[in-house]
Amino acid sequence: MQSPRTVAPNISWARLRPHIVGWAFISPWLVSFSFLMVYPFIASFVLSFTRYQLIGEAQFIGFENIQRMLFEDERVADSLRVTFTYVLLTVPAGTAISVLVAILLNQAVRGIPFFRTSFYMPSVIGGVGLALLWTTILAKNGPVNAALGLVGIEGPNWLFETAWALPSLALKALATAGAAMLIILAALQGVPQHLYEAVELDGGGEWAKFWHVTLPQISPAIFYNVIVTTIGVMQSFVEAFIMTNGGPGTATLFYGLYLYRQAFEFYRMGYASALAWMMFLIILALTIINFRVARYWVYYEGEE
Amino acid sequence: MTSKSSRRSFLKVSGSVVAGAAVAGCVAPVAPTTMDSAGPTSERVALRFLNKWGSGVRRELMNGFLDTWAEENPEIGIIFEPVADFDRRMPILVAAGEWGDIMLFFDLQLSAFHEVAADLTPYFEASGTPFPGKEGSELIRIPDHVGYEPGKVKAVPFQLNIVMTGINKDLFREAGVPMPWEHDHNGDKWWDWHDYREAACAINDLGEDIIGSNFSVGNIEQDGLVNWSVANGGQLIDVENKKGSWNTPEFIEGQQFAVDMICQDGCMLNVDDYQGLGQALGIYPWAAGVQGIASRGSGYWVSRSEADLTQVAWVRSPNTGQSAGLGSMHFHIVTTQSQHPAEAFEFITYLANFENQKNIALSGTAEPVNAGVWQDADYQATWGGPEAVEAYLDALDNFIFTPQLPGVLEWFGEIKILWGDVLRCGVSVEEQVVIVDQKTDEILAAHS
Repeated sequence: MQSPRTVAPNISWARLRPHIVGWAFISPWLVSFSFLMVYPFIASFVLSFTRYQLIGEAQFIGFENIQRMLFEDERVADSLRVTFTYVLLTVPAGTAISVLVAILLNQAVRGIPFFRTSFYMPSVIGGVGLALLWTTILAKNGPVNAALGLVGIEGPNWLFETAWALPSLALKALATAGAAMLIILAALQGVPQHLYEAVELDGGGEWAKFWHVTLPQISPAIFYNVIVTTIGVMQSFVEAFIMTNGGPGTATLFYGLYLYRQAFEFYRMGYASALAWMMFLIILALTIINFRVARYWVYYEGEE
Repeated sequence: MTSKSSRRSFLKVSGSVVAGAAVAGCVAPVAPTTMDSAGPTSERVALRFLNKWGSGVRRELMNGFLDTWAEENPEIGIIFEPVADFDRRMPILVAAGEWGDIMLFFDLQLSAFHEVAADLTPYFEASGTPFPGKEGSELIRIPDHVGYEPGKVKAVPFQLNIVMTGINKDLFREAGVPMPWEHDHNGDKWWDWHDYREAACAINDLGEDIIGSNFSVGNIEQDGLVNWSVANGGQLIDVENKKGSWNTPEFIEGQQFAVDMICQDGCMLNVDDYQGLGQALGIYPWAAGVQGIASRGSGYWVSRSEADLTQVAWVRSPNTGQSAGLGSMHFHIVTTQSQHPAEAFEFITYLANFENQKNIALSGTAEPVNAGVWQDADYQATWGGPEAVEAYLDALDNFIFTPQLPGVLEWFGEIKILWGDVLRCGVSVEEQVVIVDQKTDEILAAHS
């Protein structure tokens, strides 16, 4: 009886080489992605079921952190309320402002490069520096109140009054909508002229041009901004950390700031990990909702 | 064939090595070693020393300490590693297992990381050095269970910060109210809450831009109002039972008096205006008749001001005749990882000796932890007059420590929020002390 013939795997150096070269090229990214993203991602998931206070062993405590987060810790509800309010204050208004400014900056007037640069400039300044600058601007005796004083209005103590603190941070966010504006501006410049001419032939005016041509054409860029801004605003931290430290009371206690405090001020890494995962799930849900809703208002050229 | 199989073997072996390395990388840092000797060894050793004094005047001072140490102790080398952004980076170093031999912690951190600190009791005993604050010790008192290990001393103090009370004598004169030391209480010259209220409200009436009292940070920090309740016989936390302790007549009375000054009299800034309005007036911090001075640096500022300012003793409870104020302390610890704990102990006690602490005191960067320096004429000459001398010595005698319990950091954060509602006149003292105590119990239980 003849034994079955063993078939040697058909692997040759020539066939392997492109694979090896390919892996070698992406290995710097792969290694950093694995160790700096995947590993912490998994570790934080595991830690969220533990009590871990930086030293000693992490103790497995099952769903205790999640139970505390959802049912016992009222600061979680406070911080979510603050964060969602901030999203509502900044994302719709910020989008509207960036569209409006982009349209203005798309006009053929003298000195337009100067205006474009001016509106974009605040986006270039780093977060901490900008936050410090706005702290000065909104101080009780700062320039905003000085200007209000000229017309007989006594300005509030913007950052230290419960009613004004969060709107003040939102004001700062709106004044720095330059990055979104730039993307919209690029989209505006890509709108084909013949579509406007078609509207003119149909007897449409400026409003018709904007509503039936401009808006649909730039809607993918608006959608992109809404997604990115929502995610960014949900993760807001620097403004509150630098300008108000979450106060007065919990008026500006963003979820990200509360998470930071649990981790790096109270050293409750397990609980902070659970909070981080909840934030991830909330952002994921918001993004999915945004995508579902997008089909009703975002226009893509290739779609029916 | 050979080359293919060797290539496969190579891939197998290298795969195993990579996987092994990955697993090894995940293993926890080397376990801390225990101390087995109470006496210094004769071989030359090098100690890693992590401290925040890495810039400016403090760095110059530290360099001087290190130079002198190197001359006198050539067998014990010190590798100084200044830690910038100390409050945030120290916990990260702890988490990373980068403990070195000696670390600096402030009191609240030490409560959280007490496991990092070695028990120094045998070294105190072996060197014949009394525990800090005990009879014969040249160091000032430290918390009973420093690092929260009952019965053990796990740290040597390095720097103290105590809050002072300052007054603007010009405003006192203008309002026609007695100076704090002019009140007579059965022959003793000190001031109580009532005297304080009278002065603050009279000064407040002088004009719109003048604040009666700016003492209140409005929370439980060093110059906060909780000190009033503690002076009245209350306590911050019931440490023995690990429970809340605010719902007591003594505590409530002290808080109520202070809150009335804010919410009824309007003679003291509330929690938000302290931060916003106090500075906005442009004459901060001396817009106020009475002002908390939160740091030694501010004390030096007093001496350079154009206004007639001085430090005074803390206001006392009319019931107990006592004053109290939170102090904060930085400690050096010898880590449980250190292979040379005896030498490390020797070095950290050197940093707390009279000469070094006097240099620190005279530099104006912190109050000294060496008791002898407090009595030193050169140091007292920097305080600005007899009232100030009395005030500083009163503060030294009566400052209180943050409770040494795990979880107290989180407790601070939460109480600031809860008590802020009272100091904004939104909630009553009686209602909120119940909530504060519940919260305290919850937090301490979660950390125990």
